[in-house]
Amino acid sequence: MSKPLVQVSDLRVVVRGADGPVTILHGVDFSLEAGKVLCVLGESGSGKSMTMRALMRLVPRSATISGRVLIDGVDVLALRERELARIRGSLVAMIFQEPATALDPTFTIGHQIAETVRAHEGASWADARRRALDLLELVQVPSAARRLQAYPHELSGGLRQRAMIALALSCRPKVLIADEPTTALDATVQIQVLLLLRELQRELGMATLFVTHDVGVACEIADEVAVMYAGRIVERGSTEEVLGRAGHPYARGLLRSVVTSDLVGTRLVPIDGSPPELSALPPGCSFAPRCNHAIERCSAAVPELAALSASHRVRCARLGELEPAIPHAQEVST
Amino acid sequence: MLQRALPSRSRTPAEEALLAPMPDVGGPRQPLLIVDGLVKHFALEDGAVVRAVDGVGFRVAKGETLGVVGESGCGKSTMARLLMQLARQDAGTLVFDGLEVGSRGGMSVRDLQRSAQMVFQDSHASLNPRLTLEQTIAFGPRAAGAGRAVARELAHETLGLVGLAPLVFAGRYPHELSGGQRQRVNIARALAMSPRLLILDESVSALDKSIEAQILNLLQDLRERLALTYVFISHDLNVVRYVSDRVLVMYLGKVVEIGPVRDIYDAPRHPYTRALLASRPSMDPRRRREHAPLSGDPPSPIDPPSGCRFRTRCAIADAVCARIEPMLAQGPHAVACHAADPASGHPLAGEAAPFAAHAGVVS
Ligand SMILES: Nc1ncnc2c1ncn2[C@@H]1O[C@H](COP(=O)(O)OP(=O)(O)O)[C@@H](O)[C@H]1O
Ligand SMILES: Nc1ncnc2c1ncn2[C@@H]1O[C@H](COP(=O)(O)OP(=O)(O)O)[C@@H](O)[C@H]1O
Ligand SMILES: [Mg+2]
Ligand SMILES: [Mg+2]
Repeated sequence: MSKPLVQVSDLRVVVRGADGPVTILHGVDFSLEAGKVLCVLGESGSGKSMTMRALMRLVPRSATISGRVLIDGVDVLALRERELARIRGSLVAMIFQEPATALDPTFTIGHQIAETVRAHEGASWADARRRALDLLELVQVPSAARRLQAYPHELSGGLRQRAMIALALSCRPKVLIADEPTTALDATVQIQVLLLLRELQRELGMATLFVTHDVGVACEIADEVAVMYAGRIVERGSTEEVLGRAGHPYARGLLRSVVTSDLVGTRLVPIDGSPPELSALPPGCSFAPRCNHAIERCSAAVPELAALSASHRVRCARLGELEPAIPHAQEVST
Repeated sequence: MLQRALPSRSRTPAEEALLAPMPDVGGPRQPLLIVDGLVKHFALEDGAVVRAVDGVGFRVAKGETLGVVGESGCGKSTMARLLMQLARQDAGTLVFDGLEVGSRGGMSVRDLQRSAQMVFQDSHASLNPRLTLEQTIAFGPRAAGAGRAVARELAHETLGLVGLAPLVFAGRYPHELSGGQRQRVNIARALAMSPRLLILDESVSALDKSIEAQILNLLQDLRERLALTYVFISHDLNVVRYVSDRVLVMYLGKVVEIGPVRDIYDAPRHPYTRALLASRPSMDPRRRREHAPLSGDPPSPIDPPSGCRFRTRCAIADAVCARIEPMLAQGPHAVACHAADPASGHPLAGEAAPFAAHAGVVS
């Protein structure tokens, strides 16, 4: 096994809330090799975006980060601001749900990409422009030469997303962080972008961290999946392990509530209640108040991420006592 | 339904009327809604015209759920607003339980806006942050002539119906609720008017999946308990399949296919429907999608293509598709596609299963 490109251990983020400090991330651990896609799956507010931002130290000023983030051997949390600025974009690039957060409305797409290439690689304008064209072609923008001259608002949603991906790839990052990049797109466009990202991933061999709340998207793109709940990873493993043989009651509940064709005519089985307030987490397992399997022990201490296999880990005090997982996603065909 | 649970005391006629749905006048076989030739265009400042809804017709039977699908911008929300008469159509008619809306001797817009209620996607934006839930829900009945006491009863009753204990929630404010709870309040607010038709425009789309499942169960329960009819608009094809009896597929302001849910999902006939279905993630990591059925984004409803609007993205488009607009055929499973019409002159039109081999799409 090759050495992981990304190693995150005990990542914590605390923000200042109205009534004192609030812990958003409670010690997140994962690692990722080059050439692999890790999907971080979870519902809104579970801390997916905060995890990604913390990797790049793009957190609110009031927030404190602790733990350890090693990316390609670089200790990110120990870097000085100037060194940090250099690795953002070159070693690690980010794409978001809303291209507006990454694209400047006042410059053409071509200018923005060329400018980034120049700034990071010291290329000449002519070389940078050529590279911008190559990149737009790489992300399969039709009539790429013409689109170099377009401003972001002149492009459709799908093309803007592609332009943002081109910008992110402009300095040959080793790690790509993609935070719900297809969530705002129509399914017909989403599948195009997912196929593109899959292809780029194969060609360029990046490590990709892909945040999504959509199990279907994870099925399409993930090699590995980490499920987050209330600021913790509660399960991780290969896509087959997590989506096919989920062990954590939350992960199982989440998969069960995804409406698929098999469920037509049956009553859905939702997870009751709603996620806890981060400022008032229940003791022990954060999911216990909503869990059908919870017993006293669950509230005594936060369970460890225990190993089910070499790659499959589950944070549940009753792991092994619960009935084996019923396969979900893998049984479902369209 | 509602009135039985409420204590009887002296009420005004307006209140009596509000406590029960308006009566069924057409009988069980009369469609609750007949939409015919509905058109809504928007003129833009530069003179361009958005053909948002461009000749839409369909029926909704009493007690059924009609699902509406199509990419963003195809006119789903505009159509919903027309059904509610929140916008006035440029042409076309709405017939509610046999009564033409807005015509003399028909149904007034005011009565329609009681009998039909809408629930939107954004539960945050649609609730006034300064009103308690009771005030929010009581607002509609009050405006319709109910006194304070009856409006309050209605608010409590409907909070209970959507699974929010009235004693706990009546006095709360929207910011004290989760997204799922806010959407329950929106449903309660719609129910407080004792509607017969609920138009759900992406009502579960912003919710997390586990919460979405709760709301879908609630909607199924309410439909049965209150004998409601739904128009359920969503971009999520799996959810639409789950809730719908029949499904309408829209493309750039037009209906391209409509039929029973099974037929639409198991035997789609329009190449666009097939492409939409095949764009869904596979839900199986071992059998991932290998190609995207459509390229590019949906074109603009300003200056849509001539003939069939889908032809610019269609794998089986022929010369006839640019010349002549295909009409929606008659029948329970209707499609507007030349390739499905033996008389059209489309080269594939004679074939038994015209798309299977050619559309390049497997669902
Ligand atoms: N700047 C901030 N200050 C305080 N709390 C924040 C801030 N940003 C996010 N949070 C909180 O952190 C939690 C996790 O947020 P986020 O990582 O955005 O979730 P996700 O991406 O999984 O939806 C949420 O409860 C959110 O309210
Ligand atoms: N008030 C309006 N003025 C101008 N254009 C509008 C207006 N409302 C909607 N549109 C346009 O009409 C088309 C259909 O929009 P909409 O009905 O919201 O579609 P959908 O709900 O299917 O996404 C879009 O192109 C939209 O931009
Ligand atoms: Mg997020
Ligand atoms: Mg809409």
